[in-house]
Amino acid sequence: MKVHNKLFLTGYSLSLCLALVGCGGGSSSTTVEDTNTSIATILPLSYTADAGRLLGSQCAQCHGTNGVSVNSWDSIAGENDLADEIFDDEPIMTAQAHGYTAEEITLIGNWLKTLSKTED
Amino acid sequence: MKKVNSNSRRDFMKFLGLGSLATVVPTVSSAETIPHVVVVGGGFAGATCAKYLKMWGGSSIDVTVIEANSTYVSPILSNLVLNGQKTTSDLSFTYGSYSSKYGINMVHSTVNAVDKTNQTLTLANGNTVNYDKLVLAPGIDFMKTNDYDISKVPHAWKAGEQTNLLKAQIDAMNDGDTFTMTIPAAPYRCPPGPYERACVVADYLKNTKGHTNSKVVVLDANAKIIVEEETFGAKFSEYGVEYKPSTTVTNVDDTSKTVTYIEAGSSKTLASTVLNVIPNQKAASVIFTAGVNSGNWAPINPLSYESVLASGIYVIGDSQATGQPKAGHIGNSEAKVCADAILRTLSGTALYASPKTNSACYSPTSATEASWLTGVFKYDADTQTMVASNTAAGASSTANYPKMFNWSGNLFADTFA
Ligand SMILES: Cc1cc2nc3c(=O)[nH]c(=O)nc-3n(C[C@H](O)[C@H](O)[C@H](O)COP(=O)(O)OP(=O)(O)OC[C@H]3O[C@@H](n4cnc5c(N)ncnc54)[C@H](O)[C@@H]3O)c2cc1C
Repeated sequence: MKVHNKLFLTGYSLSLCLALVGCGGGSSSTTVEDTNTSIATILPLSYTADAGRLLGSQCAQCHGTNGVSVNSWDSIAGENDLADEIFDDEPIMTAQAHGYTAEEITLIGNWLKTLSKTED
Repeated sequence: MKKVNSNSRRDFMKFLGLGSLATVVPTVSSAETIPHVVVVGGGFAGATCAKYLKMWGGSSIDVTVIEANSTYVSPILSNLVLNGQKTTSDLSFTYGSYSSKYGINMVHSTVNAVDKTNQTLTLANGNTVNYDKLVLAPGIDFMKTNDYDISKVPHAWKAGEQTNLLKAQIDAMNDGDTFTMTIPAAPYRCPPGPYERACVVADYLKNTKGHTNSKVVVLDANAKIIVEEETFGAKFSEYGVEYKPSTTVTNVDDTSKTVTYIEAGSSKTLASTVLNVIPNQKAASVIFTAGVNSGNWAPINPLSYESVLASGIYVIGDSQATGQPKAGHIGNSEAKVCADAILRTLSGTALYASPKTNSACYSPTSATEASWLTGVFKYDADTQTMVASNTAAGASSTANYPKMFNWSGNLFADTFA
């Protein structure tokens, strides 16, 4: 199980940058050193849950996957001042912004800061 | 966690002929132990869920989407096909680059049977597919009052051929002809959608076609305009739309093009050149096949979208029974909460305790104007339901019209690209 956990950790960190590389299991060439071949149970994933990313993924419907807009609406990847920015602009944005607590906006903002502006 | 039937899984991989799966763990006998999540339906909810499962779960998870059609036509913006501002091909999406970009196994067939005990699905193409977790995102079905031909009386509430049929009928109208549409009882797909359609068609007939003697009649099963009442009410007055609330359709005749309905206790029959009956709705059939419905819809836990009736089966999008609107934007939103919840569950992590979802609809009210409606939904731990924490509407304006395409552009890309 140790080996598996390590493998899946790698899988996960790959997934973090997948927006950059266009990811997916399809291109993976990982080989597994398996020592426990007798049972075919589902392996536990190693998944680092991230509340900021989960909440922030809800911005993508209007601002693009991982904050990268495909049109003239703002990209928010790399946004440094979400707490201010989220309340300005469009009435539809303001209406949305009021649906989130200050803590949630901080979580989302911290996640957006980790995203590269140029990612595609 | 359940054991996986390794033979079937191997067979499944063989039938898919997927090199991609094979390369994950080619040499090891426990290759099949990577969790396999199967998503049924590649619409706004299903396509988003599969994408985010792979984006966040990476190569530690196998994801298969089973979708009946190789091309998806978005119902969102499809009223703009009726007035010629868009075509159905503008609103069409295929899954080739989407599935290879994220490493999703794409199967085009219909799921006919769900075996919850053995965790297998039977497809129309004869194959069986095993799953560890199953996500059902199949959209809606219609409850017609009687048997009639939908090529003569189209609903155009699933987009594609139906949309083009209705457009052709509208385009064949002469000045003085009548367009009649019926609005289903809530809940139905896209609350503002029917009112939006009445506006778009009325504007098109009057201002584009110059049919100033034509009439648009709306029979609404609901007691009043259920959303954006001010906006749509004002437009109905401007266009002279004849609006009849609290009307229950009882029969549709595709030969005489008549609709029979009950209004204030008495039965009436109305003939119309074009008849656009949008029937009452329920979850799509696979929800009933899987036995995860209670009444017409599928009750779920909003922290995960897992069925309250069957563990390991999740329901997102229009089929689910929360009070959230049945709409594509929020279907995409639910899908992300569900994807995260599945990954948390597979990794033994607690579910996120206070998920939020959001909804947005831009409604065209003519060929140059649109209004909008938006809302944030939050989990209420006391009632264990999603409640609207913030809703707002924007009046119809020409400024909103181009913004509608910015919104839909990013929504479409976040779902299908
Ligand atoms: C005119 C109109 C305007 C709209 N405007 C908006 C708007 O402005 N904003 C908004 O948010 N929403 C809008 N909507 C609503 C939106 O289109 C739907 O709510 C959305 O499509 C629902 O997504 P879904 O994934 O649940 O279902 P669908 O999009 O219907 O996808 C379900 C998919 O599952 C497949 N499927 C079903 N059963 C099976 C099976 N057994 N096996 C295999 N595949 C199966 C189907 O082929 C389909 O592709 C509008 C709808 C209409 C009609």
